[in-house]
Amino acid sequence: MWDLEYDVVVVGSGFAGLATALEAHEGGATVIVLEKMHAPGGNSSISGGLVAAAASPLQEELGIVDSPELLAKDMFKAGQDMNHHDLVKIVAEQSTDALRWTIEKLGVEYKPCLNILGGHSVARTYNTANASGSGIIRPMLQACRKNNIQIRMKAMLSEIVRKPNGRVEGVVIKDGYLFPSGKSGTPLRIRARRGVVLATGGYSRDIAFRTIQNPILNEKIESTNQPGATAEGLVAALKIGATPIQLAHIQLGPWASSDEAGFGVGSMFSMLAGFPYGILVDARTGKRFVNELSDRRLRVDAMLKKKRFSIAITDSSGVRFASTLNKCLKRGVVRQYETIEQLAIENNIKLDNLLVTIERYNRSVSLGHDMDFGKPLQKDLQAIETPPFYAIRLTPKVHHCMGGVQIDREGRVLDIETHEPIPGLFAAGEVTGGIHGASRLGSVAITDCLVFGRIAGRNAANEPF
Amino acid sequence: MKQEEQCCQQRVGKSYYEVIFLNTNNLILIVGDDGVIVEANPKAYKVFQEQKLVGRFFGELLDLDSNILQIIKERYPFDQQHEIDVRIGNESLIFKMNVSPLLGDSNLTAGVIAILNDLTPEVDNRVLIESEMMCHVQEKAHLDKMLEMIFLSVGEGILLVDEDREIVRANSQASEIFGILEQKLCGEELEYLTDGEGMQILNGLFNSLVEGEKQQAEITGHYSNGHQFPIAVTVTRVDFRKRKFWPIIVRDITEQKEYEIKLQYEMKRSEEMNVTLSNVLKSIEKDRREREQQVKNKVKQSLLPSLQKMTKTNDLEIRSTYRELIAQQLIELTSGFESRLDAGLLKLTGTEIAICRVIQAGRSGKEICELMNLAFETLQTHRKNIRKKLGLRGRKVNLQAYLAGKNCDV
Ligand SMILES: Cc1cc2nc3c(=O)[nH]c(=O)nc-3n(C[C@H](O)[C@H](O)[C@H](O)COP(=O)(O)OP(=O)(O)OC[C@H]3O[C@@H](n4cnc5c(N)ncnc54)[C@H](O)[C@@H]3O)c2cc1C
Repeated sequence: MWDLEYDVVVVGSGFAGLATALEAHEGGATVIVLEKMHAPGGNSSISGGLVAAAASPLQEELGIVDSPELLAKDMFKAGQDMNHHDLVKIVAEQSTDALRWTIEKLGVEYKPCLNILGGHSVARTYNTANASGSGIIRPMLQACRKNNIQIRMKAMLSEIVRKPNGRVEGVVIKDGYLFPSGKSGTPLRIRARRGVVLATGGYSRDIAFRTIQNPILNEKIESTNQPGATAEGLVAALKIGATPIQLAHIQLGPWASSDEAGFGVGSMFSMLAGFPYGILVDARTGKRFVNELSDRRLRVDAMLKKKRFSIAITDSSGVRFASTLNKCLKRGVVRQYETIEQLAIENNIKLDNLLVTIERYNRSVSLGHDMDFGKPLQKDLQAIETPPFYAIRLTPKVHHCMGGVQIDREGRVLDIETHEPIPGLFAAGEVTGGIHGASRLGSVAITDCLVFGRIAGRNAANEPF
Repeated sequence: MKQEEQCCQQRVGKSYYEVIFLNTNNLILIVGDDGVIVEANPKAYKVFQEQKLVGRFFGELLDLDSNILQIIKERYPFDQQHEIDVRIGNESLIFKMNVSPLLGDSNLTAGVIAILNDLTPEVDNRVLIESEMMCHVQEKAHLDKMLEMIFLSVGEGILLVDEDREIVRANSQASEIFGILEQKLCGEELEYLTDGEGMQILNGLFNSLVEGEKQQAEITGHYSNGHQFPIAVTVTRVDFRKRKFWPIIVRDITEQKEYEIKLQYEMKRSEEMNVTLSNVLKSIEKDRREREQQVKNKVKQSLLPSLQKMTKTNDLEIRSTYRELIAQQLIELTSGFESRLDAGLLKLTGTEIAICRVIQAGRSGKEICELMNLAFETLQTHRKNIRKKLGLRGRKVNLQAYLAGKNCDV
């Protein structure tokens, strides 16, 4: 009946899957991680490594007042209150715990400063020393190796086996799978004595699936995700009666460059410099049109409206924290100019308007509040006036799926008919839904994946069989 | 000029078409799908008085009333001559413009190539230029596609490294070898994939290679989970727009290394076996000589004197005593081993016995021939004779199996 047998079978090798595996192992379970791609890490490994934590050690050091309640409030605001409150509470309350776990247990290194991202009311975002999610994924993979937790590559989940008694008992995979060939791989049945944990991430690159959920997001719109961000894992769960939730809520990132593919190096530039320490203008008018630190959805909507040509502009003081600047310049994603005039000409922006815009913004900076769009101005913010100046051309790209399967506070997947947990099935990370509502705040995804990955891992290891 | 160079960087190689692009008296503008100029030739820069062209809207530059490429395409249909009036500074110039679709290059799929010429030149070589530029574009697209195919489909990992030791391209095999998705691998520093020593070796190669040259080395690779393993790298160098790039072909040689170690062990073992075998053969020869000598001695010392004595006497009783003695001595000639000997084996010749010993040691026919310097046919004849003497003819008994339990120390 079964080819292999483990206590806990984890599907997906991103933050959520690896956090699950490490905790389940710690809980005494035998564990295997299944990954359909030829390399581990998923979107997690290409992510920006920005991690939100409320009431964190760095905040205390820097005198920033924050609390889990405030983080939850920010999440509700961005999510238009479509978030499931009990789940949000857990993420917010355990955010600093999860961060500490990465530092103390895994040895992850972070930069000694905090960032403020759009939609957050205070600076609470840590960034890994290498400004990438790989700064967390690598230590996680090392820990798996040390603990002999096997990660089986090219192993694609094709079916979750649920028995007539309602319990999930294992999975069927395509072993030796070659993404994206549907025909590749041979079936292998793996029993999960205690539990299956679904951590297969989002479906931003699944054009068929995402256009069904939201027809606007057709193949013409690029994505920041890795090619394996497709929906098969989610679909397998839906097939055995998992509850889908808010699948049409798919987020676009407002910070991606139109001069490179995917997330690239430009996105981090906009996030760490262009938006917090610069302005976003429409090249055709030379004017600002949105609060650069508003939630992503508001920014993207504003960018897509009227087919704007969005350009973020900052100066030499604004790029202090732009860790990817050199790579951006090298690839021509960000361009550097000695004067605003030059910047305007080369980007085809009406110079007079741009000068007025910058002057007005600089006045806002000196006043300490944004007269036009209510952007929260940081204490260390300076006027845009010190050459060289920098510009990045932006276009929204499909980035994150807020929807997924519904889970309870213990990370159990809920049955669509009974609304009760499906015995033996857990989920964590981007494959779950309901935590972020209509829009996810930047840097909260990693926190969410770590918090619920750990919960699912602990609970799966303790599931009776 | 710097920007012009930058955008030209995307083009592969320098070809005939490029020469035309650079030297023609026509203005050539290549426009991306967003209506923005991505490439312009020197003549265009000259006519537009060295203004920046790349990055500007095509429509705006030529006063076409729209920046949206779609609208421009509708207004100025492909492959027709359009007369346009362009203001440059205080002057107004009239151009003949021809717009054609830009094929190939994926991020420019919907773009166009516009060729403008001043109405004054004596020779109108627009058609020529246009068709050649189209060839250029198509050739490039074709070349790119081919390179891309090669890149993606070869069985080995490929990394393209630039002067900053940054990985600028990687295929999925390389991604699999190092356990890092392509998206992440591109932009990663090369030093993440090996150790200090490996980096030193690579740097050495980078510094010493001339363009087109090829070098190989074996270094240590690092998987994303910290696992270390042996890799073979083949490094070449290509120069491109005054910059150097090094394509590195990578092979995980963990299995090969293990196999090599096993092979070495096997070779050592078989060498030892050969030494033992030749020793065996030598000792057989020595034994044979010693035994011969023994027999000779016995015959000389006891048998011959007894026989002489027997022939000398006529006494029947004495004769019979000598006969018994001789019989006894004859038995003693073989004493010490005859009891354990197989009757059949005693019938074998020395060569046949030697062959039996080697067969017993499990050697193949070919090996026996080599060891004993025999032709294969000769060996077969010996085998046939051995079987006959041992009474195995026509029986389904394997010679090696039959000899297995036997004492061949004849
Ligand atoms: C470019 C980028 C940058 C980001 N930056 C940040 C950031 O700085 N901060 C932040 O908080 N969030 C960020 N995010 C979002 C965040 O990284 C993701 O939401 C998070 O990594 C998801 O983790 P996960 O473990 O749920 O899924 P993933 O990391 O995507 O892992 C899921 C894995 O499951 C595999 N899989 C899928 N289906 C199957 C199947 N059927 N069988 C087997 N395996 C399967 C996938 O191949 C993948 O490896 C970013 C996202 C992207 C794309």
